[in-house]
Amino acid sequence: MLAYVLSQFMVRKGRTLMCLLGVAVSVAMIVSILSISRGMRNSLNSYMKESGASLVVFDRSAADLAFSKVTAEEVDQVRSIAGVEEVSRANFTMIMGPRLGDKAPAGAGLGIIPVFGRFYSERMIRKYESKLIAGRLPSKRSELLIGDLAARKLKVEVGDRFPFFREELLGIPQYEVAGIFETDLSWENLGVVAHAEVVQQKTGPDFALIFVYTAPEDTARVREEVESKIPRLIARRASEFTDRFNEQLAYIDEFIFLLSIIAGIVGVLGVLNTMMMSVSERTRELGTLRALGWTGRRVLGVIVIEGTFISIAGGLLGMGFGYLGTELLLAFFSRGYLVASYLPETFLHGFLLALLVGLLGSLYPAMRASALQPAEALRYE
Amino acid sequence: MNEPLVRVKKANKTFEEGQVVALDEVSLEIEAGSFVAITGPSGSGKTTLLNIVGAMDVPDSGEVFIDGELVASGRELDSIRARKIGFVFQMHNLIPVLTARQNVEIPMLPRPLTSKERRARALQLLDEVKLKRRAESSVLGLSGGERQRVAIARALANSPPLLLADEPTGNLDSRTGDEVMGLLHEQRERVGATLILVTHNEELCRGADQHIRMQDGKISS
Repeated sequence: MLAYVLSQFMVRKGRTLMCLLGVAVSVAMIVSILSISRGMRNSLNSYMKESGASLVVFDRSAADLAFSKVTAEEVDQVRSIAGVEEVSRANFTMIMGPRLGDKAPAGAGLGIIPVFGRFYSERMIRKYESKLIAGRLPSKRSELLIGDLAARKLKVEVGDRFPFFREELLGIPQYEVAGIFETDLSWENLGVVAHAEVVQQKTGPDFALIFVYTAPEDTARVREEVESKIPRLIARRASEFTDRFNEQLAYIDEFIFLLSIIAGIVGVLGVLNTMMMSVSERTRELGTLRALGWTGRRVLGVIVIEGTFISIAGGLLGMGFGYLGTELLLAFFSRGYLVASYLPETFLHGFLLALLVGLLGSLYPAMRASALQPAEALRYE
Repeated sequence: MNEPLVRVKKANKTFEEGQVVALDEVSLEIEAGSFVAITGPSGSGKTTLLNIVGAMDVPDSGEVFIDGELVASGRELDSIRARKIGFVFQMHNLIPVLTARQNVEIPMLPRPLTSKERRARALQLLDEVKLKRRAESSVLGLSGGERQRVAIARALANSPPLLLADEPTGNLDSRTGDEVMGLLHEQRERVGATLILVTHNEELCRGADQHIRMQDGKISS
């Protein structure tokens, strides 16, 4: 029977290929979006985890970290909680077209640069120690730590000095590159670490979040105490950071689900059309099979297997396309801001989508084929 | 007395909501191992009778028994066709995308045989019809006569007691037609099957144990 099923594809190569490509594109789209979505989520978790902090504390009501505010008084309150070993404050901004003075590459549009504000005396800055590929950690407010991708984009090296910000902040006319770091997160590599007091000149006195260091046995208690003492704030273990944003992430998941449905419908219509044409063209052939003793159920099975086979082949191709497409997107269009995670469940999602498309798309043609009466089918011209 | 292999009792069949009468109170009995020829002009009901005897259709009224089994409806028809009947069609109706051997294996697929057993049986049957050397050839590359020989091998795949042939030489030149008929009779005798032949060609009816002439849905003689 397998020989019969496979040989059908060779007879209708063009149509099979078109159908297969239709399913492949649908699956590729889903694999790509899922990989990027998971990649962004994982990279954020990974970023928080790499801080080495026990807890990340931020504004409970903020829909996004960009809107989170933690005041200096609240930082002091957290510091006063028993078991808190250390607190690192962090703020964040993004600047457009940094000023490089005579270091600026001719005609370069330098684009958006994320700026992470850190206090150089606090523990959080030490995470970059092991990530340095050149220079040293900064120690003065007039020093910067630059991500590898940003350094390459801005064409700057350790020791270079330039204004960086468009306006003079804290009376600092020029900043010196103290070191260049490289992490696994491309969007972090595209950024610059500046002194938090400098960033405060752009964002105001509040911080976006604070990293809290405790002994492991104290973490749960400190977390509870932070939230009960300052109900406005939320404390999360660094590794569970994105759980707080489940609601927002749920929107992305719903969007992906919706896209899966649309992609599925497109795929089902492709398989349906292909299999309907195939059944129609093979009416006499199917009638012959019935005359030779094949049951309607066997004919149904053959058509479903054929449709599912095309769809799964399309799905496998789509997984490959999805991976390649995502890599191309990341390499040429995302400018390093996107990250992809290729998780087994993403490919399983693509495979199941293809399987479902194949089954649903071939079911109706298969039922039509199985209902054919051999005598009538053999009369069919 | 032995039970006839085929027994049709007062079978009626109409098409187009009763406007076209294909079979009108047809009754007949066919003995096992015999050669039966059915002739008649176009539209006389030959093919409808063959379809009913071949369990491809059921009469509107009346009864049909094949090898003692009542031909009713549903899955029983599939099962009767698979076990009891071998078809040879005018247009051979081979599956064009398959090889000669694979075509012969098609009726054996519903049976509980291993692929090795199916293959061996198909090759043996192709050997019987002198086509073993073309077993792995696509049927598209075979001549009309060769294709009909493959169709005969396919009809014999499940060793059915009843062989039905609908104008098996209709698309062949006379010399090839004679060869195919000779082979059909040879194989029928070898396996002891009953052959029911529907044809316009009176020549092919020579030697028939029973000659049924159809006219306007009735057996005229």
